[in-house]
Amino acid sequence: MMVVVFVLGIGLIGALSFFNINLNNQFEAKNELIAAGLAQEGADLVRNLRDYNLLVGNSWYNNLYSSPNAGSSLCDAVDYSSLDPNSARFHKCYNGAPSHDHICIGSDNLYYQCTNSDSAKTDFIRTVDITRNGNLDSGGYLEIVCTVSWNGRATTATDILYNNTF
Amino acid sequence: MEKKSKKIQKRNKGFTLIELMVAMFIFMMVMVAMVAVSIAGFRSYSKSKAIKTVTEDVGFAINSITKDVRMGKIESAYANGGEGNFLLVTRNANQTKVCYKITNSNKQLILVDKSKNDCTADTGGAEKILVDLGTDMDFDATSGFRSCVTDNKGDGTVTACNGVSNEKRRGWAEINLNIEDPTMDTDSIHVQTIVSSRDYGWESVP
Repeated sequence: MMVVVFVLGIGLIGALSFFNINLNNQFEAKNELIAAGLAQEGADLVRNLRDYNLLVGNSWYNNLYSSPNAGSSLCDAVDYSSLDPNSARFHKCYNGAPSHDHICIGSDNLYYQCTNSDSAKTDFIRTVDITRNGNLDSGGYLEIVCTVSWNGRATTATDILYNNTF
Repeated sequence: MEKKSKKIQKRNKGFTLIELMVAMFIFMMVMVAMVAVSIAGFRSYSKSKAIKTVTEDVGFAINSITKDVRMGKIESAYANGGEGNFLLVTRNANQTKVCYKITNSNKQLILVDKSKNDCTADTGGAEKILVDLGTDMDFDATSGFRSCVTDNKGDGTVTACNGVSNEKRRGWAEINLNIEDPTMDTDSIHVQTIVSSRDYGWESVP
């Protein structure tokens, strides 16, 4: 009898953990999809800043990199407010302290960058890394890596920006 | 002889009532546990199936829209950060207009071929459901599009793109899909991304 109960118990635990693993995998697939969208959004927003610079006649790396052959990135994070003419962040990234690396969700169901102390924050963290290659005034380019991480996992979107609209 | 008879008597004694009750109790407990596991399993299966279906449908919708936006010319414009329920794109290959539209009534994401500027189908145009709604999924009221035209053909009505002229404009589309399944005890899925057109309308510049 004891042996039967033991075997059944092990079987039940096995079945339960199988269903649990399956459900967790589906949640992970869902998070992967959301993160991929957010990473793509970050990379495309940086691209839009470059496009705006070109269209209005600014230096093409304006608000993205501090100097053509030295300096550092001016963009730690970016969200859709960079496309909103009513926003103080219109055509700008977040840069420096306080770090706006977390993703929050607003009452209108839009994701936006926020600080760690924001009560609306989600599990997602999004950062933008910009690396300069060569002299930006003479053929150099910027490599954009937008990373979205959550619960120890991460996904990235990469883009290369030149002094043209491609 | 007497000893042998006693042994046989002991062997044929059977179970006592207490032993039977204990055995039945353990059996019942095992059965209850098995039923509970089965129910949990079925629930888990249907929940994961719903999440998987939504995830795949959203992926398909995003990929489809992204392809058209990247390769085509964005026609719909929502100025000053406004949001609308459709996204109108002209495909560069054959100049066919297509519209991705979230219907208010049945909350579906549909694709309209050969659409007019207001996103209604021309004669001969087709209207088809882009995402299968077989599992009762809804695009809720917060789903929508923000977009800015690539080239507004000089009518000067767009303010959000901020190019140097009506012809020199960038085009982008923000896709914001919030999907829920009212029949399932599962969280809604909210996917948000921005896609830029690679057609900047330069050919229109004199």
